[in-house]
Amino acid sequence: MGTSSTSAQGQSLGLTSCPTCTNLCQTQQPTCPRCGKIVTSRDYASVQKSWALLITAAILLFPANLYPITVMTSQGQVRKDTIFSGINHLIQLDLLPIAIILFTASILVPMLKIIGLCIYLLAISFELPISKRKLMAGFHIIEWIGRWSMLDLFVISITAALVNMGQLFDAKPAPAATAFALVILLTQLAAKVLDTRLLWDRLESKDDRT
Amino acid sequence: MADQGYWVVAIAVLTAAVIAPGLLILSVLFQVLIVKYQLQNPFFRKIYKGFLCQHNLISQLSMLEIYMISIFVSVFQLSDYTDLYFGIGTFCFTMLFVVVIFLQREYDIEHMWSVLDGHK
Repeated sequence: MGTSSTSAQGQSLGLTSCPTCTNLCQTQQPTCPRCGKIVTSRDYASVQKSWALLITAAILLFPANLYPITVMTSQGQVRKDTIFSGINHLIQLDLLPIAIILFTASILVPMLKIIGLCIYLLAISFELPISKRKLMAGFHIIEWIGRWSMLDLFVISITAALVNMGQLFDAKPAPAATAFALVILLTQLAAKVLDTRLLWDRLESKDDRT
Repeated sequence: MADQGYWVVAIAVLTAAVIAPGLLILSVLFQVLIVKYQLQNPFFRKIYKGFLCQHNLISQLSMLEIYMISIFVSVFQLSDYTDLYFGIGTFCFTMLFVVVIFLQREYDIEHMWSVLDGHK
């Protein structure tokens, strides 16, 4: 499997890392001696699970962006804002930094995450010739940055809690909030469920270590 | 939020901002107490193991830093319409945030596992 003795993989040596506690275990052991959880060397079904979650998230991205995410009542006037129109409104109010934060967190990050995970899964499924190091770095960025999409939901919930004066001035979440929450949840799950060790197996022939 | 029918959003926010950080602090507290006093007891060893297994999940779920930024964002948004005053809760939350950041900096899960191994 490995090109030289230094690049031998754990699987060929009969060793694997426990998925729960990262303890080094032997592959023939049924459970990890340290944490007692089941030891699996590779989870081949994880690609399928990850695809399923990712596709669902991609579908939910449309209602999340097209339907209004907040309903603001200001002096009797009802304003329904989608994610994009809300950011537009902020730019008009001269709150450019806030608009940039919100744009990154609620439009850029979910889209990049879905596209990035798609590339990652395609690379595993079809053995695309992309540098493994770049893919792995990209994956860690996706995992870390994905949490920041929660920002939009927090903002909505804080605003809804703070602003509540009946007919005069009121802020409420709207249908897209649920879809948006599900997009975040599903993409995070898709990244978490995926067994990244598969990548190192499949692309072994295109080893880019120098 | 749950009253208005957005319970998915409500659960997500509640978990990320309240439950997960709370569990994180409690779990680390119990871990430290068990390591200090009761590591020989098999019952407590089992609990300790359970805490360690769940630690990664809990620390991934707690999103205090994001909540902090969203407080800033919504304060800036609302300062156009209304006057906002900060109460004692803001101070406590900020301190909680700082302390949890340091907690996560000092906490080393590999060391906690090796403590469990060392007392067999």
